[in-house]
Amino acid sequence: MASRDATFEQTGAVATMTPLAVWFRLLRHHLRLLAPSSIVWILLLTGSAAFVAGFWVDNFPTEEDRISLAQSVEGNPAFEAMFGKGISLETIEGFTMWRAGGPLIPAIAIWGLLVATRLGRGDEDKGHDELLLGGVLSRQALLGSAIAALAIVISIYTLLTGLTLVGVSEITTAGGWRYAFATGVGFAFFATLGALLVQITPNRSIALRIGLGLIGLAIGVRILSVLETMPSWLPWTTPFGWFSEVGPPGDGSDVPFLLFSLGTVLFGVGALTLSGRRELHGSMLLQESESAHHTRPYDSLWVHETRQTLPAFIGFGAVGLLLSAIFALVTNDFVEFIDEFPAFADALRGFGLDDPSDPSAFIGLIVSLMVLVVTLYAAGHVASMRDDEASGRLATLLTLPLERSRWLVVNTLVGLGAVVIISLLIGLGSLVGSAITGTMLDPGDALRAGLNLIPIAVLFIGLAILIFGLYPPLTAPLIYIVMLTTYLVVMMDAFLDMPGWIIALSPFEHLALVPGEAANLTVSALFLLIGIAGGIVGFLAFRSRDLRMD
Amino acid sequence: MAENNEVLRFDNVTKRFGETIALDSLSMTLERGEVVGLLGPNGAGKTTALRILLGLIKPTEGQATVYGFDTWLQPVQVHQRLAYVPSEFNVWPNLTGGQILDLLGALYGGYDPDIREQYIERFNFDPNKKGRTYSKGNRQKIALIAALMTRADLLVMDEPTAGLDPLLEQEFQTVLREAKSRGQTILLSSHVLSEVEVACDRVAILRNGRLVEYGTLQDLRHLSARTVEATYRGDPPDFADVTGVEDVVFENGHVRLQVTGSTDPLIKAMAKSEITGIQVREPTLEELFHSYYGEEPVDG
Ligand SMILES: Nc1ncnc2c1ncn2[C@@H]1O[C@H](COP(=O)(O)OP(=O)(O)OP(=O)(O)O)[C@@H](O)[C@H]1O
Ligand SMILES: [Mg+2]
Repeated sequence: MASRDATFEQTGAVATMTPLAVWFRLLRHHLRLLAPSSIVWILLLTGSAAFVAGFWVDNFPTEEDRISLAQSVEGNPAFEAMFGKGISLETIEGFTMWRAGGPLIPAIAIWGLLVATRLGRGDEDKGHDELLLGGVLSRQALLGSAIAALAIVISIYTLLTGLTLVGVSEITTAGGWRYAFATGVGFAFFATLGALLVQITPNRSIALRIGLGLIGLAIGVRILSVLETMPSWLPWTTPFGWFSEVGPPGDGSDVPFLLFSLGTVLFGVGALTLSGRRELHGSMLLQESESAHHTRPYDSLWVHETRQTLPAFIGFGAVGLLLSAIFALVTNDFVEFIDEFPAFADALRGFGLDDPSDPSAFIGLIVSLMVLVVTLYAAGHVASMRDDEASGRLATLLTLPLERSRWLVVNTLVGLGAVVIISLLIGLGSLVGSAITGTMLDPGDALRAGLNLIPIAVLFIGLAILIFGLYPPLTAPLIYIVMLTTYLVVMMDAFLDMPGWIIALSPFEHLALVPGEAANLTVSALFLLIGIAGGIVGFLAFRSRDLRMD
Repeated sequence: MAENNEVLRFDNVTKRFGETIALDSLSMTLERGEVVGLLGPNGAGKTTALRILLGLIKPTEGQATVYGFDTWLQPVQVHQRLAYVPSEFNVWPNLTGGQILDLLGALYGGYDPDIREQYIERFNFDPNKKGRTYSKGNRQKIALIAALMTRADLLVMDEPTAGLDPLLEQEFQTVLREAKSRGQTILLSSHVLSEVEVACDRVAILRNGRLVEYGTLQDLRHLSARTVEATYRGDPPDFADVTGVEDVVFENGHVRLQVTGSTDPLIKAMAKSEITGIQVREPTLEELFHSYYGEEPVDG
């Protein structure tokens, strides 16, 4: 088969090349692996930062506007919970760092983790590395090439972001580069963390889960640290807290740069050292439990598919519950803030919130922010169905007396069930979080907020199944791209003068801020309808197409 | 349709992947209780043929039936009487071998746990490990046990011994004979002639998607040539007249030749001078094709 031929070619070539030439070839291979996703990420990240800087100039044209913005937002726990500590927000440098960097740095962290674990372990887990290691390269050289590729990517990102900010916005040279470097070292920190994690865990997916867990924890601590009752050193315990302290040139702290760089060096050296000692497919710290006695009967497709999605379900459910609870901790502060600054209340009315000073308005904002947790799970669920097909496991099941349609329907329903529960957990989290800090919500409101997330998740499940049916290899990439761009379009809406119809195309734009706003039943019905229609077309296509194990 | 003893039938089945013709008007049938080997070099179309038989992919033209049921339109009816061993068995990383067997057995519609235990022992398989920790050979064992424990009427196997060690390969041959004596029909693919020689009643040979030979091993005697290489101290004897010997090449004290049929006359002839080294090996399928059909594929 084609891939087999390709490997022969590769080994053949390796045998006749010098180690250095092989290493450069490998670097090229790593860069090629990184290129498609990196281009998208870099464009999104750089673009977002530039938009924020532009937004600031357009919306706060006078010195007065700027000072009033800084006064109202700085030190306000509700805003600081979402974007981190604000420093000198009356300057374009301070505002960009806070409003763009704050929400983007977690995304950058996840990006770093994804690519580093992919390069550091993906080939090995798939068995390709054995071929490479049979040649002239050591495992350290292999990891070194991966790290070099990551360094090249992050240099390009930093360069582009710095140049763009300095070039197209009113930001000062020092301010633009400070932003670029701060986010750049942030990436390096999390990427080398990923490279280290794949050395100490048995495989990529475990490393990824631990890494995502650490990022979630670090975000949680960062959000908690804005509460007045928390000690002032708490932000320094988390990398996201460090990032919050960067601020604009002159006003912020330079210590975070030192911390990120130190961490990067430490993780990088650690990963390289451990990689030399580790066995292929082995792990330094965690060992795969070899033996696991099975006692439970394991005998129905329902049980099987439920169990397969359980880890993802628990992960997303926990993140949804915890994050929405943590955000809801600042409900009180938000309400006080709105009472103090009526201008913001007006702006929020523009979003459709009837009574912005009511706690339900804030809960509506939080829950609509958390919608991504549900839709990401939904997309991931269909992506894992494609994964079953690509790996040949689906073929194994379908050579049993099991109808294709039944497999698809059972899987879809299991995913839908999980979506419902995760949505409700997000609603529950907001109830719990606000209750902890003394705001009692109507439980019915929290329930409605959660339920309101279900139709849009159904929409994405349907679209993903549509892709899965029509062109399976694109299932995961396409659905994630569609979801993230439509989400970002809405997030960036405030900063951009985009044509209305583009924004109107994004389903997130139409999500009502329940319970601060009444649910929009027409929109929900439309989501469900499109989702179901897409699902049915995908279902029919899947039934009549070849299985594709490539 | 399923009158007489016919178990499966390919009726002019063609499968194209874009430009590639993976299978070209394949027509063949299998009778009940037969053990048939599907042979062919890499990329010949063996896996494609088997996947069509399983209804995983759809024939571009033609039709495949199993017990009279169309494999694409009525896969469930087909699968109720069939068990499959894929060439590469990918397992669920988080399930134990035992759980995988549970799942496959239950979805098949039941099996005898004693039979399952018996195969687990015979293949020396540890069912209590997580899927991701199994080696390739061990994953292959799961597929074999799952297929054998069902006692399905038809066993379809794609390179079933890939990854098994020689002892288990032998055990597998025994298992095949038992299955045959129980009356199970078996279609198995391989690219090693000797592997199917022992077990199979008939052999089908695919090349570039075409069926180039289909018959008993007697019919295909000319295919079972062996290559013999020997080194002599001094001059080698003359082999020109020995029965079954062809393609003799001499090269300073070294001789290489092909022998078909009984090797007895050859061995007697070879012993006439002093031999310092001897090697006998099966020709690869490619070598066979090269010598019998030339470079280009031939209609079957
Ligand atoms: N999904 C696919 N898409 C495109 N081409 C394919 C696909 N599956 C198989 N082919 C092509 O069809 C031809 C037959 O492949 P097949 O896998 O059936 O061969 P095989 O006899 O099983 O080979 P092997 O001994 O290597 O397993 C090959 O040229 C292969 O590249
Ligand atoms: Mg094959």
